Amino acid sequence: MKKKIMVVDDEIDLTMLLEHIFLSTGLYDVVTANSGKEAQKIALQEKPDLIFLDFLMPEVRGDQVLQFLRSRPEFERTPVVMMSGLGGDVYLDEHDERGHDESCSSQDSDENYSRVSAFHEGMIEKYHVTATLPKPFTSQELKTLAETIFRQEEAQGG
Amino acid sequence: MSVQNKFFIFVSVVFSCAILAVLLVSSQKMYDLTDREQEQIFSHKLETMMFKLQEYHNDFQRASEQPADQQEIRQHIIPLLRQMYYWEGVSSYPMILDSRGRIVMHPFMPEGARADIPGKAIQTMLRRGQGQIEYSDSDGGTYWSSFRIFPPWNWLVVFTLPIEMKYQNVVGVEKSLFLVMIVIFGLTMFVLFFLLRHLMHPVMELIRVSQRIAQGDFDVPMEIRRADEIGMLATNFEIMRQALKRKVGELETHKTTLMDQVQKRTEDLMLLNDDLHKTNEDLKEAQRQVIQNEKMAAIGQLSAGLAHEIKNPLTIILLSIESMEAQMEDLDDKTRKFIGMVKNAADRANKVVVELLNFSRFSDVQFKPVILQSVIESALTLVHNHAGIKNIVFETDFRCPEWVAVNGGRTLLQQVFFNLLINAVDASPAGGRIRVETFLDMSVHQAVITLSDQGCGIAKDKLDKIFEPFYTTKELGFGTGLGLSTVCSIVERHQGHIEVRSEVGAGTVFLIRLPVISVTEGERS
Repeated sequence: MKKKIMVVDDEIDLTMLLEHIFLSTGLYDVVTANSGKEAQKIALQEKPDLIFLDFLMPEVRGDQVLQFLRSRPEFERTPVVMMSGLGGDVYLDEHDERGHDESCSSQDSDENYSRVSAFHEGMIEKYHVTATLPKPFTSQELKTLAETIFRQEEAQGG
Repeated sequence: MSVQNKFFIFVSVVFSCAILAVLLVSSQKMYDLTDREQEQIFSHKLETMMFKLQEYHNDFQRASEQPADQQEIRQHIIPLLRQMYYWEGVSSYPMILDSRGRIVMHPFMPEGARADIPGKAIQTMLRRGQGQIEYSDSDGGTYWSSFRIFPPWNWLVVFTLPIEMKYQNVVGVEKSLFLVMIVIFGLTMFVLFFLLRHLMHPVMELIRVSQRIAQGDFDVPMEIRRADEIGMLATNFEIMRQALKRKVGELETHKTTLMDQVQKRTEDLMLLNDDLHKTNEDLKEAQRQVIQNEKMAAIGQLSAGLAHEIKNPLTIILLSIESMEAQMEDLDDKTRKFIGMVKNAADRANKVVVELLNFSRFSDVQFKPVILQSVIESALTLVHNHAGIKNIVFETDFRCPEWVAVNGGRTLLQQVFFNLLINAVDASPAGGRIRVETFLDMSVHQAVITLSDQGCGIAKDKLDKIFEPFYTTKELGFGTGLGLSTVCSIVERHQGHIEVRSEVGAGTVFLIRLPVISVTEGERS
């Protein structure tokens, strides 16, 4: 059964692109939402396995959406990737140094390795996001991150 | 000329005059006395002679009624008279002349001869009848005579005395008087000399001492012990000297005290000046800090809005172009190149925004204890690949204990060392060395980290600017000019301090001080 990914962003073009990228892998089903409110509604309806959530949105922000979802038992452990234009780097929380290594390996420039921003640390501690994904990112990054998260889920579930 | 000499000459002149006057007056008096005495003596002698002649005359009168013949009288009387007057040892002989000046009786000249008396003198005697007269004889000798005429026979009785004989006593007295005077004069002068010396000695001493005092030497005690006016003068002078010496001493002390005070005040002022200078510097530094903070805040606000607005379109661009690339299987090289260019441009735009964000938005971080050494090691690992291209060698000397921690943000601190190391690598020549050292400065509870490279160095005029935002020496498109200002901001946010020393061509050293937190034994393990 295909995993269902929900993409939330107020930029319609971006949700379209992400949808296209995930669908093109043939591995996932994709649903999209273009506002915080919509995201809350669709999430309850669709019960996605992984959510890519934009942080800065008008009206209802990404973190508020996340707060709403985490308050519900069915979304308590759903992996969420927070996307943001404010953060520095990909950051995958693995509770130890390995997290750094994972995220580092997905980068192509040494210089970017260091840019693990405080934003991600805050996100992880406060809202238990699985990972943060700074904009802009490449399709490859996006795909690798989704794969990694699902692999971890499987490992933990197994 | 000294007072002593003046006085000496004055006294001797006066004394000489006095002696001369005394001599003159006394000799005059003595001559007068001698004259009177001689007159009396010779009057008496003449008186006696007259009396004898009168007796003889009377005898002749009684013997014959007739006046006696001149010749007879002469023959009869003269031998008697000669017997009476002319004998040895008598100093003054009388002589008798007749009215024509012929000798009647004379000690050694014959009767009837002309007496050795000028005719003029004889005439004067005959005319005056009796008295005294002085005359000179043919040999030039001066004589003094007392004469009287015996009227019955008209004889001139004359007692003659050489003038020197008359005054011989006077001359003798005069001589001895003169000698006595000379002796007195000498003695007086002698006594005067010593008296003057005795009087003048303290004056000379006064002069000597006052000269010394005038030269500024006040330690000249006066050795005069006398009860007279000079002694009093000396005593007063001595009191004055001591008072003067005391005053000068006091003045000297005052001067020294004043100079000390002036020096102390000057030192105080200099210290105060230094303090003021330091305060001024501190104020300038604080002002600089305030301006810097405001600048940072402005940049922060600007960049947060900017980032959000740029990053979404950038993401769309990148993802679109990738999707395009994936869709079109058989792309020609030209199109691939163009796609690559779009990617690169987007990447560059992103880098600028990322730098801007990192620079401005680290204040959200929550601080916690961070092991310093692990942060530095992570940064070194991150930089390793980048450095490998240029064969850069890293040397590390961690003298800071492994467990030393600072209160801060791990990612922020990592960014500090990463940025500095990247800069060092960029500045270093191929095969250059970069040295990282750490040590603890326990006096201020700070960890000190130095990063030194052997790179191109930074010119002195640029050193001040390197920590300013958007200042870069790299080529356009290779640096945002935010790296070092981010470093500086992060270090300051950690209550730390960053310094840079650089020499063009020799390399650059960054020195970072970060306050360490005390870690207990348990936490260490």
